[in-house]
Amino acid sequence: MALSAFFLFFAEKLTSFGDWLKLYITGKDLKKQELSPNNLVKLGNNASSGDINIFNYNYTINIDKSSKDYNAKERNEILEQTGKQISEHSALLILDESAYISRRTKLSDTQKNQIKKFRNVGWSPDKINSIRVAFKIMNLEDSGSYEDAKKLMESAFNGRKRVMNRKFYNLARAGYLNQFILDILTGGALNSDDKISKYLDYFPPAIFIDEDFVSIDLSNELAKREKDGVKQVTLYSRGKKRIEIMEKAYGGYLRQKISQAENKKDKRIKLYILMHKNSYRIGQTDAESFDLSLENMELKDLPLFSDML
Amino acid sequence: MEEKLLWITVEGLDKVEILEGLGFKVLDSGILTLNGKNVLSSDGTGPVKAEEVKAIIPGSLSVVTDISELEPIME
Repeated sequence: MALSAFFLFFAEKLTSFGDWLKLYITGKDLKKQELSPNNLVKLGNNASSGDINIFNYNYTINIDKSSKDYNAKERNEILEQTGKQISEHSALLILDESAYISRRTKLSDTQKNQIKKFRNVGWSPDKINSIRVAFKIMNLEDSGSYEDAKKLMESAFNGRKRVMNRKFYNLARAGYLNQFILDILTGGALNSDDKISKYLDYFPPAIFIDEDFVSIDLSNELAKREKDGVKQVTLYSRGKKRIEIMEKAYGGYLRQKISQAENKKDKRIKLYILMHKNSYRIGQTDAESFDLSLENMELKDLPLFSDML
Repeated sequence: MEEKLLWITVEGLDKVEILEGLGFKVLDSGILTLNGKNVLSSDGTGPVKAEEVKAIIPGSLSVVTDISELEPIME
């Protein structure tokens, strides 16, 4: 079925079916309004002639099952024709509001240029897609569209690519993607997909705290970095719960290191010391980061961990 | 890629009703099938549960299970 025929099909069905079926149109420059059969015929003609760009709008099929003339057979006819339109490459059926939020959220020119550079050095399409979503969430947060940001974030962090989406969001939000650009521009290490993949698995300069994070996780992550000689590490947490988790996990790490040193009767201790604690807000949420530095010091000089928090 | 698609949503029906109306079958386990075969996500992974579907993209009724998979359409 050609696109024009699809509109004409709906025009006919709106006339012949009962009140249970309605079709609405919305767009950037158009508030939600019901389409009459006459308007649909015009749209069908425009689909052929191209007088207006019919692709700029969102179309909503509204089905009222509580209507007394509702007919399930006719409903299936509507869905079947919609399915045909999808399979014939001219329609996209949206089942999640986050898709519309994503559609209307634009990237800045700077972000587009960054993405171009990541793509040019061979980062895979799925990574590029995750970065685009990450930038959109940030743009919504930074423009005060907190509800939309939350919905897009929930969708991105619950889908199949949730791990990658979250990692790129964390890296973008903490400013590391800007550093990656500098690295690429100066011929640095991140000039291939393999290299960024390794960074996603293990990113030495930062640890992002998740809700399932426990003290032992942080101790293991820091031990790995200590072994690799990473001098500076920043811990990031967002939201009250994660901030509490981070503070507890860091306290646990300190207690573990001190206890190990005491058991070995060591006078010196090598550990990540809290240099700066930064409190800030992302959108409407409290956030906190700890700048840690790997230091080798006298055990007696170590302040109580409570002083460090 | 310039977007040349109608964006359609259906109000008043739940996800399973919409998917079944389009010709999919939802098994008791929630797994989505089409013509007796498990449906794969547009990135090739599967099987897919009905609750995971975020959109249906043109061509062979392939489904999107992650919002990032729609980015190439919008770019």
